[in-house]
Amino acid sequence: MTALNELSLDDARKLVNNGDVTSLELVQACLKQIDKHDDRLNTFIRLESELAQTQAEEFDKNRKRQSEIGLLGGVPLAHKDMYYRAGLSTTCGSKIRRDYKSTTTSTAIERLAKSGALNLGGLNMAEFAFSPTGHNTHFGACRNPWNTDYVTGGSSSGSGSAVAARMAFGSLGSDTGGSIRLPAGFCGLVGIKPTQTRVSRYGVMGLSFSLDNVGPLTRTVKDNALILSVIAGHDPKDATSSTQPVGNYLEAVDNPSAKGCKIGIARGYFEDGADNTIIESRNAAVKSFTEQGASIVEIDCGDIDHINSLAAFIAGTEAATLHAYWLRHRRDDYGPQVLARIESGLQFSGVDYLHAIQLRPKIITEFVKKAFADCDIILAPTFNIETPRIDETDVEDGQGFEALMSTVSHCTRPFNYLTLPSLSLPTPELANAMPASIQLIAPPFREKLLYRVGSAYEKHTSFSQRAPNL
Amino acid sequence: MSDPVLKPPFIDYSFSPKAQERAQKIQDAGRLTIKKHFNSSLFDTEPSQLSSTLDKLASENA
Repeated sequence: MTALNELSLDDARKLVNNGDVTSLELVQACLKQIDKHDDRLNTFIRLESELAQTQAEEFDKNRKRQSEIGLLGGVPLAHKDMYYRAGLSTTCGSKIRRDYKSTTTSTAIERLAKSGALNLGGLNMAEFAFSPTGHNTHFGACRNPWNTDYVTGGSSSGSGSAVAARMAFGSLGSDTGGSIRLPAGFCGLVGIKPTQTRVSRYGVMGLSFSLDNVGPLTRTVKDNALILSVIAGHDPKDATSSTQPVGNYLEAVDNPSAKGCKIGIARGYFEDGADNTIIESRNAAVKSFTEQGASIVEIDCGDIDHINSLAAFIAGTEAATLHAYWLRHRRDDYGPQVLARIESGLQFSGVDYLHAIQLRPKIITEFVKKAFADCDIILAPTFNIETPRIDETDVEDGQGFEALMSTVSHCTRPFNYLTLPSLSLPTPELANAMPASIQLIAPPFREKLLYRVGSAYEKHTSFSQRAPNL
Repeated sequence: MSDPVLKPPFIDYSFSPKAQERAQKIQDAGRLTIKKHFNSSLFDTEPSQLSSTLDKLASENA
């Protein structure tokens, strides 16, 4: 019999809804798994087991009095430790905020709570979300459940590890240059960076407010669509959040199809320096889409490097601005790599920063018109190197660290400047038995299309049946 | 030629050489890109341009 914590979020919520399982049983199954494996994986910064059990008992009591429960009713999740909840701790993976208690609650967390989801605690993450590998000077590296010698990817490292290790049914990460898609990819999960402005960032630690995105990491496409359905949509507390209507994502995953979809294979930049095994794994995904009746075309995405150079101005300047006070007063409390990266941003001019912002609509328009001229969806690897080991990438601010950062996030970061929704999905494992991943990219606000096609791919490949051998 | 000395952003603050080198690389690449895209239409930038661009692209690609 399948252990409760191994169920998909969708199956778990249905069992609770039908009254076959209590929320407390789900929480306790997850806590048992956490107790068994967290010492080795270093996934949680803060486990809130008592609070979660109390909330589950409360839910179960109320459940008996209600005919309808929320979309995620009674299901325990756990999130990257940067989502504020009034009166509770949020470390942001840092020494500086180790004892910080927020006075506000993030809109995403509030919406999940309203849908009935529970929270198991704060997950490990890169310090201030500033690294794509998953290392953390203050809390230690988070480990990949598929092989603990390897990185989880970052910065939502704990989100990748916890969901893959069946410690939680889903998790919110954040993505400024790939921080949802990379840990999802390295840990064999589904992750979405929605369209910029699709999900409110209110009450979420900022890294670079022009490039930050909130989104879920899950084990299946449907689980992902469930969480995004709950958190997406305009929020009066976040003036930048879009008023575009939210698509019916659940309808899309319940009617999966890739037939007739024109999928554009991004060559050039996205294949530059790629390991052969990554290309082979991507080609297996392409073959799957062909077999499902999708048509495959090759597309030219143009000069991607110039997009990255402008994104670097924006990320650097905005992060340096947010951190300016602590850079002056608590400089020694940063890890060396994070300090080196943030500090660079202090040196950019206001005019350079604003030019990078000002050019963004023009560059997005040019990209969308060119790249999607002959296709509905772009397909690219999520990362183009084999999963790095933790020891070989523990370089702090040593020689070559910038090149390492750039290499890991090579395929993901262009889509943050471009604002485009990007869904990462597992592909066949590599020779070292570690997961690989592709990302599907669509024009703005076409998450529904990504879910429909991604769900078809999932059914064709059965990737969501695979699990790490813990 | 000696390395250029950058002005500190705050009183009593000095940049690490690594951060300075990194910033220089980003700046050089970014400015080349800005130069490539520069034209007079940028004078008419509106504050809500990003959201209106996304809305327009969404309707064109619906």
